[in-house]
Amino acid sequence: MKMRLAAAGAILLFVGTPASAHRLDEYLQATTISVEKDRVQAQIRMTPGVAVFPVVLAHIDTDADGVISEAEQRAYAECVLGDLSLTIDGDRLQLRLVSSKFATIEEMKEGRGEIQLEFDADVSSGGPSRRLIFENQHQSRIAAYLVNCLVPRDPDIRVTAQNRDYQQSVYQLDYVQADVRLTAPFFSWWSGARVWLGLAALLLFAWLALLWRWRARIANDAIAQE
Amino acid sequence: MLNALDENQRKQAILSYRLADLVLGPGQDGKTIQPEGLKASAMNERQRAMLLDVISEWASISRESAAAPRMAELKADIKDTWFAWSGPTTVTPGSNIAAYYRIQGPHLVIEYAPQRLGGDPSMHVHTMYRDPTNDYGLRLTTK
Repeated sequence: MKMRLAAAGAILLFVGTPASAHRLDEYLQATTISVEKDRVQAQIRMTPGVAVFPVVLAHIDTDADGVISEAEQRAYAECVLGDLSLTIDGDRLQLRLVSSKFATIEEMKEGRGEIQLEFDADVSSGGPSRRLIFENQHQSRIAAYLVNCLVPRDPDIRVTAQNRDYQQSVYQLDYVQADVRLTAPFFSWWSGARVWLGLAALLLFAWLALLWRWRARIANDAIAQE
Repeated sequence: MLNALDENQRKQAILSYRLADLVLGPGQDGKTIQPEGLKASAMNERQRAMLLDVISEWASISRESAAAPRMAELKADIKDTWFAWSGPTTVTPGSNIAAYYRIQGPHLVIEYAPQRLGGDPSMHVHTMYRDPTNDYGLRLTTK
C-alpha cells in the first residue's frame, strides 16, 4: 500500500545543476483561466528571477524601506491587473481582485518566492460560441509568460481552440456552451447593462408619448372652448 | 518519438509558442489543464508503443509491484493521452533534449522543462510527474 501511495503521488524533480540556481533573468508569470457561463476566474503566479528581482521589487516596495506593506501589496496587485486585459466576444471585462499572496523578500531574492493573485470577472450571457482573449503586458521586457485554461467544470462548456503568440502574452480561447437559449446576435447584444439601458429608453419614450397626448388634448379642449 | 511522427502529426504535436517552465509545477495539485498537441488516438500502434515507453521512464521508477498496475492503467488510457512539444526538434549527439514536452492523459501529467539559466538549458531541467486524480495519493487517503 505504501508503495502504491508513493507511486501514485506527484513527483517534482530537478535534474542537473543544484536546485538553488532557480529563476534568473526572467519574471515568470503563469496564468490559469477557468471559464464558467457567467464568470471567468483566473490565478496568476509570478516568480521574479534573481537577476531581475531588484527591478520587480522597485515596483512593489515603492517607499524602498525593505518591507512590502499591505498597502504596497494591494497597489502592486492593482497595477498588475491594470496590465491585463480580458475580453469576451470583444467586450472588455472588469477584473476584480479576489485575493493576493506575497512570498517574503528573502524567498523572492533567491528566485523561489511567488506572488499569487486571484481575480475574476462577470461574463454577460451570449451565444453558444464564445471567444475569450487574455493579454498580459506586465513587465513585458523581462517577462516569461505562461497561460493555460483549466478543463471546464461545467460539462455544458467545451473548449474548441486555443491560440497564443510565441511569448504567450496574447491568448485566445474559443469555446462553445450548450443549453444557451438566446442564440441570435440580437439577443446576445441585449444583455447585462444594455438591458437596463433599453428599458430606460423605453420608459422615456412612453413618458414623451404621454406628454405629447396630454398637450394635444389641452390644445383640442382650447379649440373646442373657442 | 518526435521523429517517428509524420509531417501532419508533427504539426499537431509541436506547439507554436515558448514554454518557459512547468505549467503544473508545485502547488498546482488537482488541476487539469486543457490538453494540447497530438492525441494518441491519431497515432499508429508503433507510435503509441513509443509514447508508452517514454511514459514508463516516469511511471516505472517505483518497485515492479507498484509500477506494473500503474503502467496497465496508463496503457488503458493511452488513446486519450496527448503529446505536445515546444522548442528545438533536433538534439546534439551526447546532449540532452533542450525542448519542453508534455504528456497528458486522464490519469497522467508529465512535463519536461529545460531551464534557461545561462549555458546549456538541458543541464537544468524541471520535470513533473502527476496523476491529477490522485495527487499525493489523495484517492487512497480519502477512502
